[in-house]
Amino acid sequence: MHPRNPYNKPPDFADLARRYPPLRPHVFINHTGSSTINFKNLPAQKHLTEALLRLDYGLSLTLPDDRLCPPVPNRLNYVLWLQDIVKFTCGSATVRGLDIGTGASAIYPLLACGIEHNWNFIATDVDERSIQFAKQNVSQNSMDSRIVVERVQADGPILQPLHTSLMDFDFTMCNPPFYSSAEDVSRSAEFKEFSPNAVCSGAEVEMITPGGETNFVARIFLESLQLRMKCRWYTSMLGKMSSIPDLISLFREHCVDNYAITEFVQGQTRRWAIGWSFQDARLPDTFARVSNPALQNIMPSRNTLHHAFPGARSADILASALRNVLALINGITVTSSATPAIHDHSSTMLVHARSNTWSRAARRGKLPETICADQDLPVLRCSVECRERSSYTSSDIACDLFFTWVEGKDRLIFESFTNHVSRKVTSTLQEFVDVI
Amino acid sequence: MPLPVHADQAVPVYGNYHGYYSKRPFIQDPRLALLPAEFFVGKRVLDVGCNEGWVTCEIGQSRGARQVVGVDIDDTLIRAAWKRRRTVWSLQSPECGHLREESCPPPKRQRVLGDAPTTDHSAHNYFPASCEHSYGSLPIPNRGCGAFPHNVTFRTVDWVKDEIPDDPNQYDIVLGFSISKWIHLNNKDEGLKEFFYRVHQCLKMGGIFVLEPQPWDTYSKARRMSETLKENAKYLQLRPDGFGELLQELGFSHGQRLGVTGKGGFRRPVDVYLKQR
Repeated sequence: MHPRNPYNKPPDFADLARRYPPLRPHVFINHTGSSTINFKNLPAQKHLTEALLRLDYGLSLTLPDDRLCPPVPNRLNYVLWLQDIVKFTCGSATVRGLDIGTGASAIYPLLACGIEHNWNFIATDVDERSIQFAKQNVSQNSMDSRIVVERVQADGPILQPLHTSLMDFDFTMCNPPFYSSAEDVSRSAEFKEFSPNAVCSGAEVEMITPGGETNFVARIFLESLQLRMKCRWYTSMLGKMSSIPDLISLFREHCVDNYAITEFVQGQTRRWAIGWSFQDARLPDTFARVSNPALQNIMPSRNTLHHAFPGARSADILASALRNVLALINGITVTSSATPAIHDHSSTMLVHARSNTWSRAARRGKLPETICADQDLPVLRCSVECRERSSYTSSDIACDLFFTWVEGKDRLIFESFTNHVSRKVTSTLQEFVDVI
Repeated sequence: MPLPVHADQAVPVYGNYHGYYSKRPFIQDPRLALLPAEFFVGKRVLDVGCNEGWVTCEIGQSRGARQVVGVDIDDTLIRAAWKRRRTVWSLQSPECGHLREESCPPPKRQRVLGDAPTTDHSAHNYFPASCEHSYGSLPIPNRGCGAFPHNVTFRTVDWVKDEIPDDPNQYDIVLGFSISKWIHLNNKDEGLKEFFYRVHQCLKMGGIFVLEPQPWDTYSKARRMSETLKENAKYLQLRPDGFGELLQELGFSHGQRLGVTGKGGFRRPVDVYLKQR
């Protein structure tokens, strides 16, 4: 469950029923005394979704019985993750997204536009019936000026709208058909210990695609290799953890190192999402990595590195040493972050480097100054934060420097910067001690 | 030659409303907000019907354009536009020029650390408005690196009929915000076609025309402004819904709708067209 998901706690079903009468017949008191609904009942599921959308987002939805009924808390996780990514990578006043396979509900564009007022969408699907319902749902929520629903050909490019659009996109999103065939669907159910918690009303076109979800997302990736920076972040949800490693290998094969993996846990349901970008803006580790041990060796490298400085007495002293060191590095600009300190005793600086002037080779004049061809793009942007770590067991206060890679193509430049600064800070701290 | 627009002309028959922007001040123009951050960076832009230049200045100051030219038929408005440029410059932080040596990528890059977007505003509204009232505007230094305000100029011209010296250099982007109705009513179908043709001519190949056309049902109020407009309106056969087709015939791509902005009578779509032949 995304930390900002308001459905972290189950809703009060009785209250929902009171405020949305069509839900009333489905709510009952279970053996623990709390009100709930029968998730295995299709009409109950549908009315719950309608209730949540109406009451919490002011959205009205018309759903056919023969298409997937989207569970709101689950869908919301993906939207919230995208919100995080967009906040860190997009500087435009209007955010443009592509929802691949929007379905009859067009739930993703509707939810997202309900939450964010400057997001616009193109929503695509191959199924005519889904398209009809999607268009209706967009209209009945007066979102026609923000959400454009388009039918695309199943044998044509998945990212078709990206080819024809004059404007760049900020993200693509996709909830792909998870399975490769009807046998795959039943096999998958067989391997599970428990029967599914909820019942699924999805049509074949929504559940099954040749080669399954791995193949579908791989197709999106290969198409994105042509489009590259036409879109900032390409993302997709995945229903099976086993789908992830093959896709990550594909990324690495094509030298895409700016990617993210995340997990959505909703009650008993677990889903994953991956994203990749051809741009240089890097994501904070909280959005790009998960702690699941099974995924550790395919996780993207950490974008936050830290060095400990047992010799520093306080964050202020460490910050002072840091400032001294940064002042001596040529060709960088340092600004203080305007955000208030998240932790007590911490301060953050943002470093903007036009070229690598600190590596040993650079300092010895051996490295030609690698100024980016595009003068506007820095070779490295990273933030440096000083944090105190007080220990209850000893009276020593240890301090750390946290380096977060914000932007850049070459990871080695980021790492060499952190090593250089840490070395210099250590010797500067020593000088402080000698002076005192 | 600029059309003589008399200072005592009370009726803005060209859509040349005085105080258009000061009556509805904005921090960020909502139509510009539909265009991505990188859209204007390094580009040569023409703003047709720029009025008092509020949008023109925003593009030059905050959007990283290499050059922005604003044109309007009304000389009073153009003089006000130069003054607006001076005011915007006067309120800007003195550091704005130093942090970015070249003509700048949008400062929104700094947002990545969660820096509030207000750092943008605070750099552009560094001095309180009272400073200019009390002490007059700040002087503009000699042409620096080409950053704002040197990248913004204004000209009085009836751009449907006459050329300005910047036109032959060709533009990357031409903006027609809330202008088509006025060109249409004053110059009829032929004049509007001539305008679209000129836009096409002065755009580079691959250049973009951003059009915000007023809907047909808003023409009725406008044509009552003068006998000329009332008379002209009788002969109009083209409709805003047909502009896209016209533009395609001229050599533009199919129009793409970026969105709809404005409330009530001001509710207008914003469409983009690519010059592809």
